[in-house]
Amino acid sequence: MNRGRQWLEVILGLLIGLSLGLAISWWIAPNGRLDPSPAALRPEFKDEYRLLIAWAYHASGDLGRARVRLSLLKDGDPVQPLLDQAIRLRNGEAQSNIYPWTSEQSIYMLSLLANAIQEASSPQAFAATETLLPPRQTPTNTSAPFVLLSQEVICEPATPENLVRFNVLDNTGQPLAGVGILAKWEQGQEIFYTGLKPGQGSGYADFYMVSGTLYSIKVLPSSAPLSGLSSPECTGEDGTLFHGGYLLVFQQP
Amino acid sequence: MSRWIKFLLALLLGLATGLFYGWVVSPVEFVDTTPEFLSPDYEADYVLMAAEAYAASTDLAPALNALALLSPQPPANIILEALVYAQGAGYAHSDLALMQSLWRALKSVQPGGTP
Repeated sequence: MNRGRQWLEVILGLLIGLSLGLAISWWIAPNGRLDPSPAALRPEFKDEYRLLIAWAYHASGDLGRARVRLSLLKDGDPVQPLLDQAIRLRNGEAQSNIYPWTSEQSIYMLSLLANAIQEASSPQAFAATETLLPPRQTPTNTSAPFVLLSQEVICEPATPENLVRFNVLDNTGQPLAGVGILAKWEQGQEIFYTGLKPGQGSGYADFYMVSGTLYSIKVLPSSAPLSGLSSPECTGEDGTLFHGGYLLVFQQP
Repeated sequence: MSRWIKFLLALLLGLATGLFYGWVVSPVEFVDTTPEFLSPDYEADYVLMAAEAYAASTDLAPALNALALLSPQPPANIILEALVYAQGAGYAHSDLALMQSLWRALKSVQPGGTP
């Protein structure tokens, strides 16, 4: 009986000690190496953090620092989450508490950073790094004005009517994400950005015209406007009429 | 061996096991937190980002919004704390200057403190 009671006391001691140990290690003094990092943030706060990184990058031009900061979020590929967030902002599926009134600018900032990372990851950028050329501090799409490289009327019944497709390239012919395009017509205007449909390529953007409306297109910030653009009339093989579209390619000189 | 010594040894063994399990085998993982729970080094960098963005736009509202996500404290106090950490962590002078610039701008809104 006495021996049984002694074992009971030992087990009780073990259990109390175990409980104390778990309480200390989980609540009172958690492992000091596991400080909460940005990777532990809720998705909406990760969005805010990512947006702040993009705005800070726009201000400082320090791509290395932006990449390190993005890596803290542990998103894996740093580009896709930036573009996804830009798409969610554009579609009204997300909003920012830090920049609640500037979603167009925020979309631009996110796309700009995505573009800069893509450019830095290109073979040309690696070559530049290897030869120790000074890093580019500002993305190409904020400098030289774009010029219209080609304008092609698309008359394919299989493609959606009135669709204007854009392909924007840098001065080396590489597609550029984050470039703003302004479409103006008599009653209004719309700004949209390249790279928000990653499946189509990072320099791609598109826009739907309304039949019978004249449009003026300008690649931001300073291309010469392409005026008088309207939905072209096309004739199918069976003689049916339909509205076609355009493929416009812009490049930096 | 007395009963109390046996009990105490069992207690210590249990304590060691519990600490090993909680610190090494299955440590606490932080998930779905808010910026308020970021550790001081990340907080300081977050404040620096707000300061960088402010330096380019001179628009205080986004900086205030960003700091409000970080802590319910007055914004200037948050920057002061971040500055103290940043100085200790050896941040570049240019970064400290950006944070001080934001602090000075906020000081006009919320007086008090010295960087």
